[in-house]
Amino acid sequence: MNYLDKLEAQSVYILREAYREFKSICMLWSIGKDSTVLLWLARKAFFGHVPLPLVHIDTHYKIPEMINYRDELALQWKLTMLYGENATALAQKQTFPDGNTDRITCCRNLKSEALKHTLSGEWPRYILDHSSGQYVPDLNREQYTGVIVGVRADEEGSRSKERYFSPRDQENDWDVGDQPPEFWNQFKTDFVPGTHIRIHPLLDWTELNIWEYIEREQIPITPLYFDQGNGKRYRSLGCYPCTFPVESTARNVGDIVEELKNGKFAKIAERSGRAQDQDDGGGLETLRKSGYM
Amino acid sequence: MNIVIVGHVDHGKSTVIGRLLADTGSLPEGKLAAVKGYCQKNARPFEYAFLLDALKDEQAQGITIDTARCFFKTNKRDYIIIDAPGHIEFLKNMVTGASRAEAALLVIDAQEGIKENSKRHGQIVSMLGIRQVVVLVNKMDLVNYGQDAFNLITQEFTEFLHQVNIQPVNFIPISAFNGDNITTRSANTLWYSGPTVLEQLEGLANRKTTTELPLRMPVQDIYKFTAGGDKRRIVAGTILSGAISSGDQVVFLPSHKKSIVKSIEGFNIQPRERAAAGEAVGITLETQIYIKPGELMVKVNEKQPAVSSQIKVNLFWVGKAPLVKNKNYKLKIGTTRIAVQLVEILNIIDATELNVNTLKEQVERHDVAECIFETASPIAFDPISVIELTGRFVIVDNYEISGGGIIIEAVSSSANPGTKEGQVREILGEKGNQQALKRNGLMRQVQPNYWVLRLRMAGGQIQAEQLLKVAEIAQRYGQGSLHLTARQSIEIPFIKLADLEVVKKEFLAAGLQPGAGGARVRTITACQGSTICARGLIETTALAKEFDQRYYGRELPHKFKLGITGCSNNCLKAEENDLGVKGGMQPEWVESNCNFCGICAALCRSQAITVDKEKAALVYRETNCHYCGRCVKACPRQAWKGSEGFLVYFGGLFGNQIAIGKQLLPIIFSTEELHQVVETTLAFFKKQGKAKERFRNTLNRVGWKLLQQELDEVVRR
Repeated sequence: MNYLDKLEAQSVYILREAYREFKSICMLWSIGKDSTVLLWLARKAFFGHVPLPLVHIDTHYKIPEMINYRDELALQWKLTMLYGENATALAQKQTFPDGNTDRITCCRNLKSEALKHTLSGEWPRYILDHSSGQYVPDLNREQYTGVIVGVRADEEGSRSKERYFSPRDQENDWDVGDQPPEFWNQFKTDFVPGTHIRIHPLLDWTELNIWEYIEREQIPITPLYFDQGNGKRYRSLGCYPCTFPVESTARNVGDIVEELKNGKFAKIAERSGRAQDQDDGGGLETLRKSGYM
Repeated sequence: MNIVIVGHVDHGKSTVIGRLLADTGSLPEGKLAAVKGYCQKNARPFEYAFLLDALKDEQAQGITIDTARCFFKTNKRDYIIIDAPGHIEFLKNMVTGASRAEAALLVIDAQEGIKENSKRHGQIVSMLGIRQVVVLVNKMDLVNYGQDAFNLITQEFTEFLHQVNIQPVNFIPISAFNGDNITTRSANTLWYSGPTVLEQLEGLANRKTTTELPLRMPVQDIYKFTAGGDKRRIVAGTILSGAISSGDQVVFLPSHKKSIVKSIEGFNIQPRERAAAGEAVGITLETQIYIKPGELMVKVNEKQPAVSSQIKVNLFWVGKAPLVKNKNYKLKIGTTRIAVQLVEILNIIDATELNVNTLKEQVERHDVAECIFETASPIAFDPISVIELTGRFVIVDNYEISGGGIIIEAVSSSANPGTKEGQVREILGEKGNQQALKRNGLMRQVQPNYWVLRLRMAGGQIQAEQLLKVAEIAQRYGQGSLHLTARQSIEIPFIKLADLEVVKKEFLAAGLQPGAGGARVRTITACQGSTICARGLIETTALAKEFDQRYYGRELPHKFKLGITGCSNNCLKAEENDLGVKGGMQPEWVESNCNFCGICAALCRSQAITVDKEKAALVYRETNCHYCGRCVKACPRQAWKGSEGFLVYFGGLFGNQIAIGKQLLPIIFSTEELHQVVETTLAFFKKQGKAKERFRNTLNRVGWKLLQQELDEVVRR
């Protein structure tokens, strides 16, 4: 087995463990490369099937191509596709682009809060109707007690300290100073009612591993990651007001792998194009403690 | 390759990694400058450790709290370096980090020398199965790069590592702060000719693939996804050792169900016939057998794992509450989850001195202990010396993983019934693991090397043929005598441990079993009851059998006696038991049939009935009634109708202390309700009781009301 085989096997093991242990579980799909690899790994783990719902938190500031790509794949792969949103904050314009909050608060409103209430079932969820291709209100309002998330340890400091199975309390808070032990391949699968667990199958993957795997498996990925002819591409995808493309002429997955290995990005942090990180003092700890992914 | 950095607090682990990342050019651009800027802004000297200690609390306190992954890559391979905290308070985080690693760098401060956690971490690294350990003697600049200081630590620590079965790969003198011998050879240690840290990392061997070992695949799940007309029933799991091919005969343990591998399944891969250790796979089987997640799949024609419910283990405990006996925990091994109890603490090892303490009654936080566990039913595993990956487990206490360990061996096993005396002696120790023996119905007797073997009986019932068998065994394996116990069982004295397994087999063939002593539900006693006895009101013998099936041998804080007597004559003395049942009959007066003859009132022994013939009046006081049923049986005119039921007594004692059981409930009429009462009582004792405390004393301590409340919920008044 080569290194990618080992990473894949470990992620599959974690996914199967999560699917076995949690009655009510979902997977977050941000449409970016990492969670798309995660989705692919679920198809690996479950032999072509995706037996759990995918949840997308729609901030309505996502780059429009992302939404199209989401729905195309969801229909093609027959996914149970859900989205949730912070309707109130959007209606009241409590966002950074509207000029009413700073970046961090905007992230908290549109992502952390929306995620919390979408997972708990308190706020409406919308489900893709495969016959019409439209989203309709989801009648299932159950709380998800297991949430699979595609974060990687190499992204930033607080993520480097994550567990594969990481508990969050009722308020979605993360007690980073007192995390549960994980010995060998035994994870935290028992939890106090009311709390939930975030599952991180991609912790050991680096950005380069992700692209190498996309190349090997030929995973369809949104073209926003490639140079569209203007010498610019997205390295990391988020909301358009806070995510900036990087200068790059990489036109396909092979170019990106090469660029990350030996080229201009070999030593530049991936999230350097994400403005909210800088606002949090260089790390995401503050945001992540209160529920950010 | 995953590598963990361990060692005592402040010996410079994070600095080593920070230096390694910086000097190999593995840091993102601007990261070094950013951390330097942060230090300047906060008026503190720059430290490489700040590159790793990403949490705000960590930077504020200058210590690593949680384990962190750092990634770097050489031409040879990808590395994940795991920075583990050295402070004792964060031991669980250290073990979390270390259990993911294939090799360990153990950092020792040249000036401070070997400290408590240098040793504790060394020992845990050994237990975790990490065989490659490189010792970095750090802060050499503080001892003027002196070779003597280095040699002293090398000598002393090599000796220690040998004691915990580690052959260190190398000792390297470094100064992480100054960068000596990290990526480049230092001019300050010309006396040292070995590799730098980086060279040493590149020289470590990846863990050998375990394909040459027998197949072990814990069944993680069984999938039947029907979407799109998929008809496959897939057994999914990760192969821990060995290899599997289609056509292989496999057996699932502990259920012992067999089948043949039909296909190896996957998604987006070439079809294939074989899969090997490390792969997360799925297989389909030729026959549809019912197996459950948690079973271990092995090959029929390869060495079989052990299957046993008693295991001897080494474990480290990181739980907030100590590990104690008579409490249910959850054991997770492979994909199995099962209830487990601590049976015996053999040794507690002081990690720092490697002293052995056998006197402790519980395993405290951060202790390393050798002990015996018993699972609720047998589990399949390999002793750690045979196959590592199937010999590791964790213990869950109150939702949290609180300990982890390795299995040394099975204590008594259904897979190897030919246990010999020597082996038993070795396992149990000369002083004896009395608890395990008691559970198997053995009691030490005055004569050395002889044991009394007790039989499992219910209500004193035994078939004549069985009794002949018992006689035969007593003659052949004992000294020809038997003893009838005070509680209706039979004991055979003068049995040797070496004969135990044979004797058990002979018993089993005759439908008999050894009994249980110790802290558990003991022999169920009963009188003959209404099936034989004219006075009997309930079928005590049948009830005793039910009780025996349901409750016998159940683990509790102390011994627990259940007795059943058929009527208020009380031949079996219900009130002397921890829980006693007495047959009763609730009378109901049928006025229309009564001629007020007064026979019932004359026979009543508790003044519950008064009859006035002249006034043609009868008064029945239920509060006085003993439910003996005499009135019902004696009435010539069916003026009393009776309903048979159960009276239950709680907390009787008849040993050093004597106390009569109390009746807490009105008469119960359904057997199912009676079982609920017994279940509730046993669960109550299990939860509230302390070791070596009889049930009554538990009730006295926590209050009878507490039990009363729970019973009231079960029994509708």
